Amino acid sequence: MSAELDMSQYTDLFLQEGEEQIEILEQELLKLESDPSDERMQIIFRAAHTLKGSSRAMGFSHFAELTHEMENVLDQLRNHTIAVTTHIANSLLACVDTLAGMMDSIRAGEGDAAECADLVKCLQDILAGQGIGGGLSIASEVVSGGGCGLPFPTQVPEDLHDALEAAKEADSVYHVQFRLADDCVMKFVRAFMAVSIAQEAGEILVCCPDQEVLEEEQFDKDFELVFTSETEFEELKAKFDGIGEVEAYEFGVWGELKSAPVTDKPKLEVIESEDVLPAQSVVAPSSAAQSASSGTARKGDSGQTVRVDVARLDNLMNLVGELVIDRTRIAQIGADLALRYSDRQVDDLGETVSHIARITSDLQDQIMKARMLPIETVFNRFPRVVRDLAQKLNKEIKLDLIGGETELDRSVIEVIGDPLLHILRNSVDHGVEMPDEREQVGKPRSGTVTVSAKHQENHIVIEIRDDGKGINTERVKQKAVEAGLVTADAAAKLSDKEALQFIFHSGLSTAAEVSEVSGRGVGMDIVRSNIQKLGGLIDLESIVGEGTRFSLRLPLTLAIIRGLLVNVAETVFVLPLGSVVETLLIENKEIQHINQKEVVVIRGVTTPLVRMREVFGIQGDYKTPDSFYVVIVGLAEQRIGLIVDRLVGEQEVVIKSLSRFCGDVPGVSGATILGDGNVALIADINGIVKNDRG
Amino acid sequence: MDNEIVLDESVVAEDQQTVVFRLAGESYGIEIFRVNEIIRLREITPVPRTEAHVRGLVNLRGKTIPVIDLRSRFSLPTAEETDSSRIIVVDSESGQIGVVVDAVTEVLTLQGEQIDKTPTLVSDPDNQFVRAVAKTNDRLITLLDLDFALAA
Repeated sequence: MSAELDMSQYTDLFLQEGEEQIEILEQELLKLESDPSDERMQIIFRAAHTLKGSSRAMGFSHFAELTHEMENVLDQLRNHTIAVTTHIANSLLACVDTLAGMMDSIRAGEGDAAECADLVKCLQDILAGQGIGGGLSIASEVVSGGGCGLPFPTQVPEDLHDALEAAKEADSVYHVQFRLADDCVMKFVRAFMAVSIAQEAGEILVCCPDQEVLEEEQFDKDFELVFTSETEFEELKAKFDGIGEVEAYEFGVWGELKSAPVTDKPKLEVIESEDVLPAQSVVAPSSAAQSASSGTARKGDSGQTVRVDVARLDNLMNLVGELVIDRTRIAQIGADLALRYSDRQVDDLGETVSHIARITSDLQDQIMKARMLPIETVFNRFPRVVRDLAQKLNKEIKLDLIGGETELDRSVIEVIGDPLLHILRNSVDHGVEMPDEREQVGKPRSGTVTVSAKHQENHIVIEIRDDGKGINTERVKQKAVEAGLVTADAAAKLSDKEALQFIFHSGLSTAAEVSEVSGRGVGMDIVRSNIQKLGGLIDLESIVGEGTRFSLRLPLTLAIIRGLLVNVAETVFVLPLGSVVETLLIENKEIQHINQKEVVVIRGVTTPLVRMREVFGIQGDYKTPDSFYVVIVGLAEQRIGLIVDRLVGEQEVVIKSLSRFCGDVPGVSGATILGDGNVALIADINGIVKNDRG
Repeated sequence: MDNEIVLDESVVAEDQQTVVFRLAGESYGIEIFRVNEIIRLREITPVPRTEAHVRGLVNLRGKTIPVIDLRSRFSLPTAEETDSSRIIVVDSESGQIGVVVDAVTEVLTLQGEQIDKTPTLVSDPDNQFVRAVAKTNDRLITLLDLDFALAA
């Protein structure tokens, strides 16, 4: 075991576990104010305690210090010596934020250095305010000795005892025995820490079991070291005290531990029988509670789930993607063969192909499911944000989260958090009125913001609804005119729904004053473009006095899409089916011109037309036929018609990125491989429309 | 220490295997370690609004890779594709790239002394993609500076 041991594996474990604990802390702290039950207190305390233990073990001292102070406060709360106040909740939440920040910098390899002196002071003041000394720590520390079955019979081979006795003549020889806690996650790390302490202090004479055995974690929970050192006993003891997840340990000069050296057989038996007894009754209460509960939870988990690296899942998804392509190809080859020959083998091939097709679809489904996460992971951030915002704005707000179990691909999860958060902030800031104001109009003082998610066909629909004052469309129009987005005449003719669309325009905010929260008018346009990038739609409805509702429609995954294949010149383009509203055959004479732009009126709605040939700059002799195909695509609330040469069909396609070599190609978002083995380009509806406008 | 094998770096560095291909009647060479594979010409999907020498994308066993036309890149006259036309797949900074050539003729091991690193040709700004010129018994082979030739 070298001192330059690769700790990264354990750092990962620490980060993973730490993140879970921090999330638990945040979730539970948020619920604490409204429901300070003993059970909840216990959960919070345990999370803080676990964090302290593991950070200390990893040597993150700032992290450990902060969690230690949190633990002190939490302990007082748990014992009802102090009551939960908003100030305490705020301070603890601030600590959670700082911890999360430290996690980030640890992940970035920058250690845990962060400014937390203020927070520590704040926590200590909370304790002091209750007449409890800030420095007073609670007895959750590592226990030592005292009837935990320690010391146990030494494993040091007898033939070394004489040599060790001899060594004592020259130097102090220390003997330390450890018993790790039952639920110790990083046994090797603990052992390693002990070994490094001894190594630093002097020279290790005996290590039982062998260092290699320790390194491979091939030991139960007991290990011992004999080492020489010139360091003072007390100093070493303080160092050993810092090792976490230890059930008990015994430390002394060699030969003075009660058990060692063991030569007496009967005595050995007595000690062993003690040793066999379950140690529960003698372990310090706090660690017993922790090991019992977290131990069972962990056991339950490990039986049901396996942690898998995200990269591995992505890789699997790519492989399945290629399989899907080949499946389509084989099916096509089979169909071609069936046309040419008719014998049994070709029939057999057809059957096998359809079986493979079924299996591939199932495989794809399963892997997609494995990549799915409940949207809860995004929702979980919301309560905190709403709470903080409401406090800052002096509003009373109740947040309802519905359908958190709805699952969607993690590629989508990763990108929708911010847009949703932005809309949510808007609802809280601009939507919900001040409590007094609400009372005057006969609404309950506290406003309600509801975020809900549900599946709808191959999409997920997320709604953010508030019961606030709604959006005043007249104000929006007025602002739009002021910003020069539309003329006053045109604005007057706009329907309410059309006027609302200006909300998504950059540089427009209806908030009378720019607040710290929102109101600078830079957000909703970004929200919309982000949603569009995902191939999603965003819509909004608002009734003055009753509230506003945003609804987002998003694809479940970004890796495989259903597409409509169309022909433009000789090239096949794929239009994401999620954006396709309908396809129409339109007569040449139906085209009208507005502002020199081609439009067509479909069921009373004027729809602008875009020629795909022009978008992609495809030249060549092309005679406009009398009638042509138009694919109506929906981009957010807009509808435009794309003129294509021919409709080819509908197919599931795997999205491949364009090579960096091609750079950013306007109007093209990626490429895919079709059943015939040829490459097709995936059209970027968003880009085409922007291009048309600009 | 007399029997220690001393590697003459200048010789080792120059001794190189080269994939030789033909383009508009002339021979060109690329170092073999840059070449991934050589495939037959296949359907190329044009990518709109890219530079003229970018022919488009091809399917290489489930991957889509861009293909460039060296004739167009070197301002050579365009020619009909024949049965001997090939795509040489090479590694570049932006991933794999296919290069369309008239024909791949052979793989040669060029000795250091066959390579002329400073022909007057190299200093000509129009020929910056020329790394060196190699002389064999019967002809001259232009060794390409691939990174320069592939730079957009």
